[in-house]
Amino acid sequence: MSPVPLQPNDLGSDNASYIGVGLRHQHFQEALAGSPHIDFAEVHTENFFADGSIASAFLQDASNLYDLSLHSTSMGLGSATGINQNYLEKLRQLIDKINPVLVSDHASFAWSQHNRSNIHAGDLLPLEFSQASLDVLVGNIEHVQQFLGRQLLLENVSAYLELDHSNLRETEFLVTAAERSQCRLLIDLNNLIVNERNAGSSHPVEQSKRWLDAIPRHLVGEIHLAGYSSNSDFSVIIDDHSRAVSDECWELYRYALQRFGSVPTLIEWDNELPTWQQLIGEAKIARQVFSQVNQDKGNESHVV
Amino acid sequence: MSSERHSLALRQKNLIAEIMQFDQATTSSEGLRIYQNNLKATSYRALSIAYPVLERLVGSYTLRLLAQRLVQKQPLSTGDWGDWGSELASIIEASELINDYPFLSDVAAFEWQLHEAARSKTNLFDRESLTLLEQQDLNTLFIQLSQSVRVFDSYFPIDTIWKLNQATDGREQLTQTLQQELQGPDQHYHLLIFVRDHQIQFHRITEQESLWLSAITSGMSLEELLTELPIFDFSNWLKKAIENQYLTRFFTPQHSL
Repeated sequence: MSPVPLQPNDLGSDNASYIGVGLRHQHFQEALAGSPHIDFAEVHTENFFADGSIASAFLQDASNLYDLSLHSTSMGLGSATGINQNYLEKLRQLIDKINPVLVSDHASFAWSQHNRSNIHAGDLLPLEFSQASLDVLVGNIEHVQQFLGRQLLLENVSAYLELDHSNLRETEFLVTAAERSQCRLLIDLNNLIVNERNAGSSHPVEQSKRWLDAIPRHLVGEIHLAGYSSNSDFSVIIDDHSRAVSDECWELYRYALQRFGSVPTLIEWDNELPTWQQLIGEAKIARQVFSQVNQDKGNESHVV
Repeated sequence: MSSERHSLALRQKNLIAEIMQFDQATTSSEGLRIYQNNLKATSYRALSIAYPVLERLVGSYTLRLLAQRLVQKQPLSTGDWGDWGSELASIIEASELINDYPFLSDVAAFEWQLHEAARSKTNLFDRESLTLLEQQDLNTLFIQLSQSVRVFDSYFPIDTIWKLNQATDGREQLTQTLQQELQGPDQHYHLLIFVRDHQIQFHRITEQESLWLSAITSGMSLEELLTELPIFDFSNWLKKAIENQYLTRFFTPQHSL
């Protein structure tokens, strides 16, 4: 197998932040005016698969203003039936068209069979943390990276089901998957908090910090920040990206920056969208947090 | 496939099947319910985008129910929700809605054609290919339409119904037009859908033009087209087709790439 050409890790450095926002249809017009406050914009890949859509024309214009990150939600990297080749063809065409700085998807599955037809679940379904599931995930990531000629970022998901056959810790599963497939990890801090809360943890941020402690620094390629909501009786937290980044998530972000250094960071907001200015405001906060952490580090090194 | 992988594939398949059974007895698993609700919400949102006028006609509650029926009959197969929903018209056709609103399935079919046309690739007209009209035997000359071009036929004035439910201005005039059309003699309406300058457009065409376009799509040569439809005004149509960007090129089989 020929080695996958890895992307240079030059997005941000220990002294420079690299902050982006998720770009959604409702903000297209304002986004095309440009913003000095964001370094990159992330789009959901599948929204740009149609050749002739207005969104597709927009993406070409946006690529002249921002570095773009392609974030897929449908690749189904953990699918035991494999990944649909038509999907990968479309993804490769889009990558060729806009040359994104990052390409990512989730540690989840989606492709399967139903009534003898190939189907897609239309969601980020949870993976068993088992050896069989790990082998499938690694094989699929290797196949995709070879096909695209790009390194992937693999995102941890919020999961609402515990699956019977899991016998590995999530961090062990993801780290092994990244090391074996030579991909890197996209750590969604909000998903960690959501999972801890839904697991009944009384200290979700502290537990999430321990989760981060199990991830080697060199494997982290991006961080996602978001807010969450709850179901009607507040018994379950839902990762719907419908709120501003939560205070818990900001706290965890500070810890992540201390642990991992500068990592490309994205504000995700997908539902009940705020104004473009509010969204940019969240990116500004992320940059302030980065500066503060960097400053604190500088002060500590002076003391030493 | 190894036995471990096969077993895993089976467990994944079973989970999806459980999620898709949202019309059966309520599950006791809160987690499963979240995935079921996600599927309901996402499939509804996909239909809401593709079928804006249908949603205004039936309301969001009914469209949600239709989405649930559709996702079970025609699950997503490509990973892109924008591709999903083509069978909604047939779901409506088989539903109780059609008794009171016989035009609804045609509205759905029309909106799907608009949705598909808007997502299709558009190419500029190859003007050089016009020279083939002078040089070639018309038996070996063919017309290629833009991928966005669609002909839609209905016994209802779907275009007026659609415009009335999208319009913010001129609603009185459109209401009056619709009433006249519904009360008038039975008609067969032919609509041409196309994309011009990245904008989806449609207008009524004659039965002759509808037949002409269908014949082009079926692969007839220009000679066959002119023989089959001798009264059709080809030169006038050609001018209009180039102007409206629903023509891609003339071609011969040996230059078909």
